Amino acid sequence: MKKLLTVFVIFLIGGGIQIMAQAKQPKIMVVPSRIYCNKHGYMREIDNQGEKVYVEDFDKLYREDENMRQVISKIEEMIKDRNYTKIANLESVLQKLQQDEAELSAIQSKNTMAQVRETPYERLMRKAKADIIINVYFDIKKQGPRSYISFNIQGIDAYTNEPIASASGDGEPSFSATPGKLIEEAVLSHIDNFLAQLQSYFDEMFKIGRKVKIRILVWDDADFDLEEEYDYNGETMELSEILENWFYDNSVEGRYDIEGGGEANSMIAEVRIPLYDERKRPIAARQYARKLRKFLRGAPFNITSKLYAKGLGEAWIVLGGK
Amino acid sequence: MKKNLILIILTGLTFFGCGSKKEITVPVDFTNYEAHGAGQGVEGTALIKVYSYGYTVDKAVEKAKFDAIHAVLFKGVPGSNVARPMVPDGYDAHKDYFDNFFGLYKVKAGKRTKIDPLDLSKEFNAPYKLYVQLSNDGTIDPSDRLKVGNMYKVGVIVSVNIRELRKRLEKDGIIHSLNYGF
Amino acid sequence: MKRMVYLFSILFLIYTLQCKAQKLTSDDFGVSTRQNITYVMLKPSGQYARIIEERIGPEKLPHPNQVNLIHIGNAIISDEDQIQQYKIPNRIIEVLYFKDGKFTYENIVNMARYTMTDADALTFNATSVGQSGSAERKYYKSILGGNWILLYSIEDLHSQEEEYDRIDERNRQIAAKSGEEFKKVDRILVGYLAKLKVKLFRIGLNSDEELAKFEQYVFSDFDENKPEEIKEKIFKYDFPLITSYKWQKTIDLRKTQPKNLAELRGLTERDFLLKLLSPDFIMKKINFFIEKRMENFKVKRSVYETKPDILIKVGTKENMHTNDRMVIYEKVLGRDGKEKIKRVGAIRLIGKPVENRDYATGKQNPSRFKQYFGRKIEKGMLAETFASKHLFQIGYLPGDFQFQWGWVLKKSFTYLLVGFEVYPTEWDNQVVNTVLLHGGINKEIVLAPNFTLDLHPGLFIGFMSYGDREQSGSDEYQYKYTENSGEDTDSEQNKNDGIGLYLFPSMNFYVSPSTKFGVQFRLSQYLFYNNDNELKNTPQKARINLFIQFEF
Repeated sequence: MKKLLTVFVIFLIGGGIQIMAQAKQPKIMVVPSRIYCNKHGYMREIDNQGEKVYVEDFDKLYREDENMRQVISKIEEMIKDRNYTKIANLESVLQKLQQDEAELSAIQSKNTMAQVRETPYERLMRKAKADIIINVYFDIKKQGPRSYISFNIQGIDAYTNEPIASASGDGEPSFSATPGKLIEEAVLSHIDNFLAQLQSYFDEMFKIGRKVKIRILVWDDADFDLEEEYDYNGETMELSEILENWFYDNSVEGRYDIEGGGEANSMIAEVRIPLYDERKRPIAARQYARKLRKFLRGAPFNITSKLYAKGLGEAWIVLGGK
Repeated sequence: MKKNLILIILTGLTFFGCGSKKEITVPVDFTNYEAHGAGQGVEGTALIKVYSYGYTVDKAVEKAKFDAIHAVLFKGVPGSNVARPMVPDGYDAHKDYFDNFFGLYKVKAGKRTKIDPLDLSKEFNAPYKLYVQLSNDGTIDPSDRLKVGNMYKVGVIVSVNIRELRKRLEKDGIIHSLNYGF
Repeated sequence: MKRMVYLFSILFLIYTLQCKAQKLTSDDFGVSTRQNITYVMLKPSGQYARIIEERIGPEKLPHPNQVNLIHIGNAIISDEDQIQQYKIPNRIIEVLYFKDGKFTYENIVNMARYTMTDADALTFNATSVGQSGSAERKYYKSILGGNWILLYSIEDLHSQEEEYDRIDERNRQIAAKSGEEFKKVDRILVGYLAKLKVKLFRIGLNSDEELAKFEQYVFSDFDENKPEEIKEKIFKYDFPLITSYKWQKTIDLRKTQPKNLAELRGLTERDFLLKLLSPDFIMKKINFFIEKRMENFKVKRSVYETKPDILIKVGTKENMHTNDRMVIYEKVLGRDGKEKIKRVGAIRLIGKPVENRDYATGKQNPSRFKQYFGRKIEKGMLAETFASKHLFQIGYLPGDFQFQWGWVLKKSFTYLLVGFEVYPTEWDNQVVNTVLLHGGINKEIVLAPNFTLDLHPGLFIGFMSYGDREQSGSDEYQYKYTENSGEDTDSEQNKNDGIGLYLFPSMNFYVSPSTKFGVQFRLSQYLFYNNDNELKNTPQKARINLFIQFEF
């Protein structure tokens, strides 16, 4: 009997491990925050379809900024210390990007959806395939002759751009500590609290799924909009209502939220999607939106649509054409 | 006669009271301490200032070590690098584990008796003691030492090895590591 | 009986005053850090001005024991107001921030290292930033907030010869008024007399607000590369100055002529003065005052261990010596919910004080102490140095009055006692008054906390005088006696000179760290000349004497 029980327990645990092993670890990338880059001159001007915009020049930063490099590697080290290995290192991603310069220029959007075009930052993120971006900002300030560090670390969900964890504060002013020591102290005193928040974010994610943003638009020249009524499941409903019902049915525990409301040709939904599809494949916004597209293609809607994935956590479905 | 009877009853009650008093074990008062961060320690540790009570100063210091671990696990220490509790489920979710971890019961001749945390000696040994130590050489700051009735309230700075503590709890399946579930 | 009541009321008054004086307030409760002091001298005047300035100018004084000394160069001013006028506080603060004209924290960090206990210094150097950062801030604050200016002056330095002239002048005036015959005083002593005046100021950066205000002013738009700007700002800042203590003492540089005449022969007046006016002598006076009166300059440490010995982390760095005493205090929560400071006991250092470095590195245990007064001492209580220089003893046994004055010999828990005593005895079947001058040493042996055994051997010289016995009450006697003035021969009373040895063992009970009651067993052997000039034993009587002894 005892043996049987042991076998049973082992089976249970083994099964558990098996299921866990299939899960996909979110990828984390530590990135200097935009404000840091701006403050220290790591920005460059690019031409975005005639409009001049400033983007982060990470390449220059890596070449010149020792302190930030130290911060990033220290944070990565602390995360690895927690048995978490899925980390995209910004520096190596940058190197990869340079190699694939040709590929980058090939990505263009069709037709009029110009704003879908990715900025270099988004391109970087897509390349890194990071699920969680850790933005780091620090500033070594002077209080008279003493210097102290102001530190801020923020984890952002790449899918929804929502902050998921953050820690910040000022260190003790010191007149003898080197910047390196100040930085070390700042990382050490904030990283544990930060990772604790990240942990609870993961716990929550396992419980209620990932949050993604699905934006539904209607082409200007389409002969219908979201207020068009359809007979579906024996009821006559507006398309927007049907979509809402679909989100309700296809989200974890029915968690979804419609942003804004009432527009005839646009709808933004924030949905908690399961981590895996029926075949245990990890899914992101694109895969999820594909499912919705499939649903709309079917009767009674017969709507064709185009799918854009912006980053990993946002997908656009444009109804009424391809 | 009536008076006598009352007297007898009263005496009886008094004896009863005394008898039951002996059997009451002092409740394990976990919450009777104050803890806050005391700067950043070396990597993998948290420096915590704990004010604890004890019947003697030495016992209060031992209780402070006990309380420091308790704070790190279940309360979180504001102003330190463990502001959030390490075990958010709380003590009761893993009661047997933590009873053992804190060495709260003493088994003697098959009988399990509860240990009074206010009465811990230096020699007292339990797993939690592996992860906590006084941050200085044992000197107690006179301004952190207050006599309250027959007890002492003592404040000491202890260093908790949070990295090793976390690893143990992860190994024992009490808390998840970051990669849990993936 | 009335006399007893008076006596005991006076004793009680002294006792309460003493307890009050020894009481620690909660502001002063805490481990001490070393303070910084700067000497400033008021410009001396008179014919000896140059000698005073040369000999005991601020830079000539030796290093004090309990403080860091900050030299700001030639600091002699002619008026108290000139402390601010001459920007003396500014010069002191400048010394802290600058070295060789460069802005630096080196001085402050070094001073902090010296300020902390060695154990702290070891951790300060070894631990990570956060900890040393907060330690740094703590010591930085204590160093800037603990700056003192000691203004001292030697006034009215004059020779003993002049002193006699002054006395004569006074006497002549009195004689002229009263019409009596004027008589010159005997000139027995040679030497000098002067007044030492000490005034202590604190540079008021000891509160967080004042320090922040100062830093805000000096270090706004701070540029390390422009030291001149910072210097100028520090120089312009108006530092608050707090008068903390005033103190005045007559210093006695006199010696009796017969004893030193040979030795002094051949010395010029100037050389003689130089010999007497030593910086060490002045410093000793100032130092005692600093250590005893000012809470900030006392050594305060935590009781580190109590079993088996009381160990405290003090040592040679704190200028501790064998038998130095410390008073123990603890903080108690009163019934009204307020924290109170209570005195627990007193201890004295046994064995040699330990080198601070040795206990910090674990080579040796901290200094050992033994309790001689109070309740049980426990870990973490506050120990504070307690210095006393003099003692005063009043004893009583029926019909007897005695009074003793003593000096505490610092290094051996022994007192040097001289006394004056009057008591009746029987001599040749008559009751006579005996007047004794005696002196000896008093060695104390601690039996248990609060209880000591004192051994007090000594010598006496004395005389007896026969007097009339008067009854003034049912159980009290009064005796008339005259003092030996040497030449007074026309008295009807008989006087007999005598000499003797004594040993007074006593059992004592301490009631405060510096007050004890004792029961003395008087064993003595007196030899007196009788009227026929025969040396005779007095009748021996073992007597019991009650006394109370104060140290201050």
